[in-house]
Amino acid sequence: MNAMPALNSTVSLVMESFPRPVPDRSEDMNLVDRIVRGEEGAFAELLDRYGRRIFNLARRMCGNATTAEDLTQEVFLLLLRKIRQYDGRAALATWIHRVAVNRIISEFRRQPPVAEAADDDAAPFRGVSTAPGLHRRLDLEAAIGQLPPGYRAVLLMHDVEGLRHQEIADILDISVGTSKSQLHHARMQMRALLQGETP
Amino acid sequence: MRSEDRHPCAETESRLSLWVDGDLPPEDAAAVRAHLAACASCAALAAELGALRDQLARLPAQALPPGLAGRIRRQAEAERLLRRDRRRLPGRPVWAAAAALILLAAGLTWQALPPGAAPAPDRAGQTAGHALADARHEYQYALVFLEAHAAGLLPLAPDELRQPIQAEMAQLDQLIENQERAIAGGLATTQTWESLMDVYQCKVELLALFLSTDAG
Repeated sequence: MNAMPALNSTVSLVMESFPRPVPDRSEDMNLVDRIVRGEEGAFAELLDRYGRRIFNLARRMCGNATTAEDLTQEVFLLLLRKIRQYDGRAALATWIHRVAVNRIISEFRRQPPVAEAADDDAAPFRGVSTAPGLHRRLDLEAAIGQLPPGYRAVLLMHDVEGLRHQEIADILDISVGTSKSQLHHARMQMRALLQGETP
Repeated sequence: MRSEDRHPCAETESRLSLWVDGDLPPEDAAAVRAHLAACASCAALAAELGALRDQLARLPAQALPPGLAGRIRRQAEAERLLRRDRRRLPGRPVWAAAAALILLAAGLTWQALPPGAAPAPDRAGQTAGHALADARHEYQYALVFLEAHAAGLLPLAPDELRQPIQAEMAQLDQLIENQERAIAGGLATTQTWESLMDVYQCKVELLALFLSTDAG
């Protein structure tokens, strides 16, 4: 007796009864429509919502606040030019990160990043502590700056920005498995750097 | 550590990030948990990775530098105005087609005329007038674009700046070619020559401005 057809039809019935939730992008689409229409304040709203995140991502990716300012400016003008291309298939935040990360990485390729802090100032990283005080934060920021760009991007997006692996995979055009694996390698390198080991 | 223990440690270590994030399937998570209960070094590593993740999540975000948001908004507004001005002008393909049709019509009229008959001077003058108007549109748009870039309102990469300006110059070249064809076809009037001179002048000025930018 073959029970599989019955099981399959039961599964199909259950799937139909509980369809995968479709993310609500109406708020994102509404903001995009308002920007496309040139509504006053709409672009400023986009900037308020994502400007700080993109600036901090750029700052940590390139380790230099001045370059990060320039990149943030470029990214938002780029977003304005491309905004009609947003179709709501991904969350607006994911789409914005994709534009930003691509722009930042292309800047990396054009001109390797130069950290603002002088190299001779790079004291050995202090050991792991549980309280992320000022020193610890500085150590963390310095260690992030020493990661290879690919690891750095995944670590920043997952651990600092709180994006999910699926979103990171979409943004970087990599598989979810690669994103997970790069995150683990990035954390292991962070740990080594914080213990004073060279990467 | 015994050699037979190395494999479980390596196996666990590769899955520790997923474990601390709660991303492992239940059976894999149970295996990792069992290993951590028996292996102090892997348990310490798991605790470190968990603490690191929590600290990274709590890294404070810096505020936007003063003036940056305002600068971006002004640049966005400048771009919006440029695009609006651009939309007010007829589309370039329409211009090119119209210019070609006008010249073609003028050429056909000329050929259809009985020998010895002169073309209507106003038709040739109108053709030249259209070409000049087109050239001025192209030139003015390119000029606004370059001026906005020079004023820092459009901080474009050289490639991004080069592309639209080269497109404008190609349009001017097309207009020059059309005017020259009209002259070669015997449709030249004083206005045609004047128009051609003006189009050349537009191109020279545009080229000079373009070369003065980092994209040139």
